[in-house]
Amino acid sequence: MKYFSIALLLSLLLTVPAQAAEESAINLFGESLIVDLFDLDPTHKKQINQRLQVELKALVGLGSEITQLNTQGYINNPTKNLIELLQLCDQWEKTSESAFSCRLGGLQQDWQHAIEKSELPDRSDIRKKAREFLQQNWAVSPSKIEFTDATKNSGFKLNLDNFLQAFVVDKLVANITEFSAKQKIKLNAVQINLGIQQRCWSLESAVNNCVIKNASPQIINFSAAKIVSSNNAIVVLDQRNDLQKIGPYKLGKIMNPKDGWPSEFSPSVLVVAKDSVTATAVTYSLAVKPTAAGINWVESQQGVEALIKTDAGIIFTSKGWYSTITSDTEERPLWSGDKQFLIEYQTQNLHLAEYQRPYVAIWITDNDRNSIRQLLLHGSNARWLKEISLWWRRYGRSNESAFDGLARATLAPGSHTLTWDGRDDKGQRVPKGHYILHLEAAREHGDHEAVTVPFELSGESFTASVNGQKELGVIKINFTQ
Amino acid sequence: MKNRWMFLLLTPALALSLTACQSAVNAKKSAAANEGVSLEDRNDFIDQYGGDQKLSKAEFDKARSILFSESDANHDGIVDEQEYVNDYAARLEKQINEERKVQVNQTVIRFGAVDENSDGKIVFSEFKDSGEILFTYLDEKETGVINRKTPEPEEDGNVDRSVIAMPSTHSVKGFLEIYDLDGNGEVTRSEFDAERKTKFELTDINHDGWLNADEYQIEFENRLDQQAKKVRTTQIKQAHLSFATLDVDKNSQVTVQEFNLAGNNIFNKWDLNNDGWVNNNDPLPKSKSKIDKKDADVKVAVDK
Repeated sequence: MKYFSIALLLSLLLTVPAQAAEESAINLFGESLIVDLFDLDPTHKKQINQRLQVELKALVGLGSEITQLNTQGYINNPTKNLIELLQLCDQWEKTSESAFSCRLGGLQQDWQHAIEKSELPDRSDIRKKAREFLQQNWAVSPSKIEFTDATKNSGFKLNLDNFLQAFVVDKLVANITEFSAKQKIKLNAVQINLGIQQRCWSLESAVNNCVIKNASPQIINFSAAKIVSSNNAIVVLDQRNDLQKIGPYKLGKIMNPKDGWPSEFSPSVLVVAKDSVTATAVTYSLAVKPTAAGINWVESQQGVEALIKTDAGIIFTSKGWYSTITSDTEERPLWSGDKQFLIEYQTQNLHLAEYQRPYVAIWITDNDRNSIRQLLLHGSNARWLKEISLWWRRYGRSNESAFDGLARATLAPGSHTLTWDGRDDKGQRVPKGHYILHLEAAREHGDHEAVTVPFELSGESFTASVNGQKELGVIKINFTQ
Repeated sequence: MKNRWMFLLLTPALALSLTACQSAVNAKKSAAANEGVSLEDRNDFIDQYGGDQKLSKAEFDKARSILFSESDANHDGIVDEQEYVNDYAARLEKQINEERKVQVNQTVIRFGAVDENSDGKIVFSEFKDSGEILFTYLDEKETGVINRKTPEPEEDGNVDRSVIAMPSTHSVKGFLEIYDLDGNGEVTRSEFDAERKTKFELTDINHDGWLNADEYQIEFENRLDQQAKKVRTTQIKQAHLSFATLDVDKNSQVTVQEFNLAGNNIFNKWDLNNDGWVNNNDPLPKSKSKIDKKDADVKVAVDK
């Protein structure tokens, strides 16, 4: 179906020259805003256009309200939008367990100085400031928002950036769709792009699926990915080359609110949620939380799916990620239907204290021992992971940024299960062929055992098992319906 | 004899507790920190240059060549002092970060050990108890004083191989480093108790009378980061000295040739049977001072 792409001219309101002859994207908070309205005739297009102008005018004011609040420490007659925005900030700070926060604007100066002087800031100092900023607060009433005195004196500043953009995007969608419904205009779909935000809304009956733009194949390895749902928000955070240089050091740009320092590994993150504010808060939280903890946390949030790609290119996803997106590329039919690749494994030694439990690495290779998929690690302390010596030398030591995603508790006595979704470390389904499942266990007193279970993936059901001798008991693969 | 393992879990100061236990069992590790060269040292060297329990000259040269080109930031075939030090600083930072992570994770375990009743709070009595264990562990004869004459505990031959190297209360030396604040070479029991009380109060950021896991971790991280800062300073000074060593003709530039010359010297110090391999067939070098210490400190990240 044809659609009209409307880029809005709001010459008096925003930073677009008054006499621009061509349609161009609007510059909003330093990013280009693009709004696509689907299946409208020119009259309705114009109507919605005008409505959009009004809405944007109101929303743009948020930027200056925040500046005012940061500069003066108070603002009279705040807009409802500002009050709502600050509420959402607080809400997400709590929900994310302080992985996301709007409170750390006061640290930007320290980091700016660090870049200028080419010297790392004092870490304890930054930590102290960050913790103080997280304590700061403000009073809200319909007639005034004001920082507390302590807050004013502490050098506190709000920083909203992408969260503000997300809020604006959500508001635009809500307003356009509400307006269309009231005016009985049949708007089939709206797609909005602003910075890292991509937002889609479509009528259930409309055929349009949102296509992830901006997510280069390097991040998700799909040439084009579609999201299956009629109302979704996507955020793509590509940190692959987004580091700041301070002297000889390269650091990520996203600070962990709890200590004001960038997290050590800068993963790229993709999030799909029901609205942009959620998608943004989740994205920034995942950039900061340790990978496995982050994935667990996302799975506890309703209606959100995420993909994390470590700086070494290894992919971790929430459970529903692959069913949320469909790919244009051909699905390899090895896992058709409800087949499941179930791995069962057990420890022999049942009488060990917790600190004596083995560290175990579990992974799949091809017949040439090239790593296909790292499944998990029992044990998280890098010092002891080195004891899993074969695994460490071949794979572990060059992929430390993946440990956060792989690591679980040391191996408790008894039986355990694990499923494999047939994907490799880059999220691609593997082809038919011969593979090897590896388990390697190591314990403090030098006990070490490596077990391999060769298998063939042909689409046919099979079981395969091998008996361990020392630490590990029976290792079994069950590939069946 | 006390259950040593249990004690190690109880010390609130940094303990490379698991390593200490391992070294007690693993007879191959060298007993004293600064005397002979150990098998561990050689394995570290082999590891550092990407070898798998053995290292050929070819592998070594390849790794060195990668090192050189990574240091040569502007790709002009020469490493000047700034490039060299910058590259060194960045590698050191990576190693510091790795160790930092390991050590921060350990605080969770240590917190659990000090929190006797596992209620998520360390109250002063629990903190005091762990201090008691700490002091009496070293003061076996119960003299009430720990000083330089106090004998080191029996099995402690543990070599701290970490770059950050926080002082540990497992040794008299480490204990004095931490607790001998007035620098008079000894710590009496009452000195110790007073310092512990102060430490507890400082760690209790919100002054609610107990330490939660967060406060406990913050205190540790602050100490760790202060130590890391010191390490950075001394190591970077060392890097400048290392550059001077490499720069044989003293023209403030290190060429590939000068770099390789140094490399050959390093390899030859390990390949004592001169067969082009560093492996178990080589005898261990006699003196640690002959090994280029700089190389041992910073891991070379070699992509295989």
